[in-house]
Amino acid sequence: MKGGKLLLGAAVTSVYVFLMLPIAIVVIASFNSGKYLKFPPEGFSLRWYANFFGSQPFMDATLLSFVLAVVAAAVATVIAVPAALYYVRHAGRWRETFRMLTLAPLLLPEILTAIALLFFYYQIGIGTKSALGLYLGHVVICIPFFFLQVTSALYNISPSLEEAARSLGATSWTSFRRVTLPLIKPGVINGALFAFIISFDNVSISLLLKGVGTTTLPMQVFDYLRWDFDPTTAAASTVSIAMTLGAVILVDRLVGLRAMRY
Amino acid sequence: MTKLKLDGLQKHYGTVAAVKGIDLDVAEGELVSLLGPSGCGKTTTLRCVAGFELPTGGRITFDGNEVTMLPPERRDIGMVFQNYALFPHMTVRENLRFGLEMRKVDAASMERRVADVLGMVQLTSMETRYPRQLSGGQQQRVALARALVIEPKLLLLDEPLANLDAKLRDEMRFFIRSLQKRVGITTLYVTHDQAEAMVMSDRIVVMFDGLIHQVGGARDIYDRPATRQVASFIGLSNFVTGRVAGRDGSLWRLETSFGTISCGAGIAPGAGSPATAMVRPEAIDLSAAPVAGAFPGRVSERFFLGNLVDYRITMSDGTLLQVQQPATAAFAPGDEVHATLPAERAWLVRDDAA
Ligand SMILES: Nc1ncnc2c1ncn2[C@@H]1O[C@H](COP(=O)(O)OP(=O)(O)OP(=O)(O)O)[C@@H](O)[C@H]1O
Ligand SMILES: [Mg+2]
Repeated sequence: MKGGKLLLGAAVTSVYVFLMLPIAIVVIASFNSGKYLKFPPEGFSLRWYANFFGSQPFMDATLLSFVLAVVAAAVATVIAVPAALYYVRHAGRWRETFRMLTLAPLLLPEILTAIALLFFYYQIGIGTKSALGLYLGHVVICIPFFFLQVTSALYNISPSLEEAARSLGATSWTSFRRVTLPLIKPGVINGALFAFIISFDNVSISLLLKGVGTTTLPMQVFDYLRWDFDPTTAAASTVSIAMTLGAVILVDRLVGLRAMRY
Repeated sequence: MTKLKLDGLQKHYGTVAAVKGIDLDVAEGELVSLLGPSGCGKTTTLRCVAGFELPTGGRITFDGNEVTMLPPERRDIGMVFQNYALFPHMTVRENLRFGLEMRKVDAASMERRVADVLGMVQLTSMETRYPRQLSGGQQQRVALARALVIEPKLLLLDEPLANLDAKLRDEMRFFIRSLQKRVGITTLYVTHDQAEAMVMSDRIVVMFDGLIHQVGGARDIYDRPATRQVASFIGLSNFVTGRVAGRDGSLWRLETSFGTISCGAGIAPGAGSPATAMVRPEAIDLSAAPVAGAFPGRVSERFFLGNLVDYRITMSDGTLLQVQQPATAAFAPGDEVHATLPAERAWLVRDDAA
């Protein structure tokens, strides 16, 4: 028994080390004073951060990624919450079809979704000249995760709560706002956070759908790495990790991430 | 106070007919139970009245005003759900205020009404608790209070006691009934528990398979069931089949294979037609000596039930009758007995199986 527990502890620890170590190394490497991206670092310096923040392409890419993630999460909220409500409470005969279609972007390889969207954009004439296609693409891949979060939150609350509200005189909108929404709030917030992170990290959709002359942070890191192997990219990654972490902490502070149980 | 009227109410789900056309009048301040086995359409009927389901046929009126297609929030009903459906993120007080807020009641009357109703259900000290901090019985009372505080036209309850233990269920029956009488609200009450329906209701509606078989008081339904299903659903019964031999005033003569019995009827069968009579086990009298109008039989089994003894009597033609007698009467298996089936306790029922 004791041995088993030790073994389990060791296994868990090694998984964490395996997952976290590369991230730690990137963060450490970003403070390297040497000219190359390597570990262990040769000394402490903030020059790569200066390089990163001083670089117009990096700044543009970071801004675009951030705005893209916020917009994608916001638009996905407006689509995924009603979709989940429809699926859980109202969908009839086409219920499963509806679910499969909503989850399709998750089930298909992302690159296929990207290619399909690209063809579609050219067919309908919006192409990739504007950023619209990029935004839509990000929304599309954010929806499935969001939908799943809200769906499971809805399954946890009894439909008779909404009916009780209706019987007490609330319209369907009021009963959603006063009863359903507060109860699924943790699911909605998690969904939005998921959406933000997925969009912020995304490569394959952005690769195909970004307009000419614009680029997202992950793409910019990739492009940069092809020509320069200096720690600027490590600094960029560290900033990106900090932003994701920042989003999680901010949301936690504002509304609390712990599943609210009643 | 409100009169409720259902006219040919129907509800089909695709090809499934849950309610097949029912007519019902509920008078002002009356408590009517919908009673019947699982799946007979009680909940569906109640949900149509509440507005959660739209009927596929028929009309629903409150005080003569048609509400058939109105959404629930415009019907002014109070509903109590089997799982109580209290809002878990609101305190008892907030739960009770919800309906009043929807009605834009002013703050002062809101306070007063919430306090009044909490007093009625004896939960004044629980005002600031969340539902999860209450026992099942307390949650039940909050649910009742929340439905009553809005002073609705109708109170609808769907098996509100099904989740409580037996003792609490007994207490709550009386509690709900006396509260309903005090408030004087017209009430529709769904249950599949016959004892509950008999204790609580002014009238009982017995349903089978989407149709009403009988509407009446507890006595009517027990002593004068309309159909064989009603009789077997409520209490114990013997069914004796035979042919209608004729009529003496209000009684019918039924020729059975162990003899001719007299019985009352709510139907008018033609002479010579097959018919089924129902006799309750406790209505049959047993005696050792032959009595005028009694039929001979033999005790084949005997079970002691405490206050009663339960006999199986085999009649001359092999018909088996269940008879319950006070525990003071003593017959042993094998004894010759004479069974009297009193005309006033025998009743012809509609028997679709026959
Ligand atoms: N949403 C639905 N879709 C299809 N069929 C339904 C639906 N709701 C109810 N039914 C069917 O309608 C019939 C009546 O159901 P209902 O819930 O009214 O029964 P009930 O008398 O309340 O039974 P119980 O005592 O088990 O609650 C059942 O055969 C049921 O399967
Ligand atoms: Mg039911």
